[in-house]
Amino acid sequence: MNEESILKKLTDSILSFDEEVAKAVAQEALDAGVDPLKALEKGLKVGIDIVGDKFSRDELFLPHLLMAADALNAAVNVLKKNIPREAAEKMQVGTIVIATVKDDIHDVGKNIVSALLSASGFEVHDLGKDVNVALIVDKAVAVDADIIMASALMTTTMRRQKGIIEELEFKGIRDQFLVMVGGGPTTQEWAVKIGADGYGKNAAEAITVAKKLMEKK
Amino acid sequence: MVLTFWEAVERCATAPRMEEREFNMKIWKTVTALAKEYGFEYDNEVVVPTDGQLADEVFEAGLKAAVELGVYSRDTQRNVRFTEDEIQEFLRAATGKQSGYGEGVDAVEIIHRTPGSTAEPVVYGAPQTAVYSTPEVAYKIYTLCAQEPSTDGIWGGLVIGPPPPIEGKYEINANHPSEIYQYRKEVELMRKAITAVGRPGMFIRQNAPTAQATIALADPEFGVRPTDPMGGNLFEELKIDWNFANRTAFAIAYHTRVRWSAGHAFIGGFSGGPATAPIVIVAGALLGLFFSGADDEHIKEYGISTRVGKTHNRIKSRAARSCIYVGSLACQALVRNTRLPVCAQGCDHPVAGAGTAQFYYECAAGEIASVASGSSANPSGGARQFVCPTDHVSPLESKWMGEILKASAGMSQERARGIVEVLLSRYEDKLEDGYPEGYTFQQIYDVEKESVKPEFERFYTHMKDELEDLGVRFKERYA
Repeated sequence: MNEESILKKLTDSILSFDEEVAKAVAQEALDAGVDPLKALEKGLKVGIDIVGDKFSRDELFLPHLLMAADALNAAVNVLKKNIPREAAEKMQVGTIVIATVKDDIHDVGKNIVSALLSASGFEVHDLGKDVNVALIVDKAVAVDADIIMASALMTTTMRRQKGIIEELEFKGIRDQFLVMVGGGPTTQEWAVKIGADGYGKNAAEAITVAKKLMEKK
Repeated sequence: MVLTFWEAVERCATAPRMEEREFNMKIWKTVTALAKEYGFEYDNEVVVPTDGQLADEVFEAGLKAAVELGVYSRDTQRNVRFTEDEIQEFLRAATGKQSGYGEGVDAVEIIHRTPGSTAEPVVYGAPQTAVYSTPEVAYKIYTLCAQEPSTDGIWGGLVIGPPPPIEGKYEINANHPSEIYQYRKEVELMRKAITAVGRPGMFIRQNAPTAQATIALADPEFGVRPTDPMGGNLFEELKIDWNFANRTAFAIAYHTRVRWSAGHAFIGGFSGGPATAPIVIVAGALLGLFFSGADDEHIKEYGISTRVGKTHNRIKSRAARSCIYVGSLACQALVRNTRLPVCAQGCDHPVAGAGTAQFYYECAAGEIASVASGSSANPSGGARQFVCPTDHVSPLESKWMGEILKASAGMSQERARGIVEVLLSRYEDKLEDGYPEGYTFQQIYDVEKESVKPEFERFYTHMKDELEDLGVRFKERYA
């Protein structure tokens, strides 16, 4: 099988939404001598882009995003094991800790952002909803996160986002993390006001902003 | 005998453990399989379905989904199941009406409607989820909404400032003393407003983020009465948590009259697309009965209802084409196959702002489709995009939705479909970008005189003329 066919197969493995299929094809690519970075960029990520595009057109749904992200991560783990550490690090866009803030149990938007981040190659630690500030910050420290993302869906909970920044400042580690905020009542102005580094008006924008922040980092 | 709330809560503690993600994926897999079994496909040319057999099959699939899926208890991380017999017991008990909304001459009851029914739906006036700058603004909006003839009850927002509402310098936070205090003050304002307009028995509805703050609203003199809707039910896609169940427990103890179940789907979420989301709504409406707090005696005396809702995962309007379809089909499925009055969300949250043509189009499309599909009660008002900037609402929009809701009674699904299609053609391309931000209360009203400014009054009349040209017959008594 030539390289082009294998890359196409990698793309299709993402669209199969099956981790086992993706792992097997990733191994097949390695066995055939395909450069792992090329396998990622020209094979797996093409599949992810198709999934993202179909999601934005309401042809695929959140479960597909999650399954595609799982397939991607499974395939990337196979590829990573077979290449030097330096090259493996290039495959990872960044590490993110994401949560809906304390006393807020709206998490569908956050779930979509989380799935899209995973599908974009980020290592995502999703702490769920109703999560207190200390837990978010502790997790970010523990996994050496690049970005902390906090969602709030109510005017009465959005100040918890500011609390994350205050906690980081209190601990003297504000400069170690980028902080992004989002959710119904939040705005770019709010993000600036509380000293956040980024804001996403919607899920797609959140991913774009996260990528840009990582490029600048 | 219907299964009690306490048995349902007990099952939350003893049912098998399950991770939430596993349950979420189970929702999607189950409804996808059911859609395949029944051959459900979304036809985006049909915004208001008229196929009764399809609605009946959606109900059948929803019932199967309810039995197969059960509910996810977030606090105990367990998958709680109920049998079909247990569900049917509740459905047999339903009386076809629900009384106990408000008191005295202002009291209303909701009755089970079917598609095309001539009975008028009950209207929850005033913009829910609105945020207000001052108590004076909130009070004026509540009074102006409450005095509308089409309004049967009002729904509260929250004064958040600026300046911050407590002593002019303290903000409101959830799960904090400020939350309990400020929501309670809001309800006092609402009660004062309905009394001022001579409708002191009108029902009021308020929801705080936490159960403790919601429970603290209870006060027969200044706050929420047993004759006001107060409680909780399933949250989002077939989930229950104590934050909501605690409200129901209190509702039982407080002898509230209005008990309900709730089914909700996220279109594009774990509910899947428009072909499967109605199944999730029906399943939620059926499973939510167990967490309603209603027992046989209560149902016999006051009845029981269900609330159905749908939210698109990306479009911040309930009047997106797929939202209208999903809401309409789920409502039809429930009203055709049960005696539960259905309270639906037509378009309580458009994407466009107050005082704009798109706002009027979106809300009209959602409400017309909903009433023609058999909804018995709808919230009106409409804070754009669910959470809009401070004071970006006005009573004129509440009036609009009230008039539309009452005018839609008796409309056939076919006629509704035709009107909704025309309305969609006027805003559908502006749901994600290019929608107008709209105006504030202060821009739309002469606040001192408490009257609509002439240019907005003229615009309102123009919009009514447009809708009349499309076939909506407004009723003089609500003008």
